Amino acid sequence: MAEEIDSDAALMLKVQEGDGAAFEALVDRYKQPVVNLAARIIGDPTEAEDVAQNVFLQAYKAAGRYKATAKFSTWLFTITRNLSLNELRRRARHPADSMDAPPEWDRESPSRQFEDRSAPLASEEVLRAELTEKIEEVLAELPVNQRTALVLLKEKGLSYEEIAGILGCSVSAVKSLIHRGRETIKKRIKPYLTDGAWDESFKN
Amino acid sequence: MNQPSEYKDLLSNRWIRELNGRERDRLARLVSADPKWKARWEEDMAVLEAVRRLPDVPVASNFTSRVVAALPCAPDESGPALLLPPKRSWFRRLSWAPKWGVGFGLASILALAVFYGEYQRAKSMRLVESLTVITESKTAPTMEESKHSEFIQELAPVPLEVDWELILASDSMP
Repeated sequence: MAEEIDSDAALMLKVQEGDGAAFEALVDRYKQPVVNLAARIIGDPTEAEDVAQNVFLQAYKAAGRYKATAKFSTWLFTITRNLSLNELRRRARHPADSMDAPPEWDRESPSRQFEDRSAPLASEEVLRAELTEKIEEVLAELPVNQRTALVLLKEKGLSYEEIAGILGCSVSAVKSLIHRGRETIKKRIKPYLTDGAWDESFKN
Repeated sequence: MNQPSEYKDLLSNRWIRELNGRERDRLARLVSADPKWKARWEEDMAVLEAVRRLPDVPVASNFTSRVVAALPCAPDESGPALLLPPKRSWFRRLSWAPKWGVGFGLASILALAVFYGEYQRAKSMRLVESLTVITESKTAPTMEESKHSEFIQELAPVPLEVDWELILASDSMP
């Protein structure tokens, strides 16, 4: 991880000198976690790409003020969170914009799939897909800070301190957010435990 | 450390990294002490794995090239601040204003109160001085003065005559 941090910082220093290839390398490295985070905060994968593009543009514009002492990923995720929250606020002000197509994970109407107990014996892959979709659904319903904290834990294995820095709160508050989010997910997917999805798909 | 808080601590650590040897020993002791922790740990690990295995959101294959194409010529050192918190409403952005407003308001009220106090004090002083003068000057006339006064009032008014001779004389003076 330390090497990665150094490598990010080294690339940013090159970006400060106007090296476009270095920035391209950073975009390649971080596009996936940035899009993941934006998509799960705003709940719209299509819009998430636009937000992510804006994140990288803003990062490039402010590259001159980046200090190598700050971890690049923390800096970038903070920008991502802020721009995603701005997007959420914009949608709240203009509800018509939120009438777009539902998130990709909602399009297949996963809840109906879960309830269809008369379906033929599902394979391990199908069970896993169902459970994943259910978790995605629960995640989308969590308060935005709980959701963001959980997604950040998944992305790049950030520490609690770093997540606290991104969310602008204390480490204990982050732990509490994650605990509450985790308990909600656990409670909501517990019915699927008995169907064997847990044992087959997730128990290692 | 009691069992629930120890469990919470271990779980919290496990969510960000693998447990180290000491932590694994602590977990083993906890689980052997009460089987309920084992079941709970398995559930929590399943949630952890499920969250970690959430699929990536699809990203367009030309995403990087789109970003690069949209970049300005060079990084702008005086560009907008990135780490500013998300935009707040105009009123909340002016959250310092009420604090200053209250300060100014209190200072103004205090200044007005002092000014009004001084004004009232000066006014009172003037009133006291006037009353003193009046009190000193308005003494009752003596019997002698009253007699003179009656005598003067009884005198017939004398018509005033213009002394033209004196006026002309004064005009002709060099």
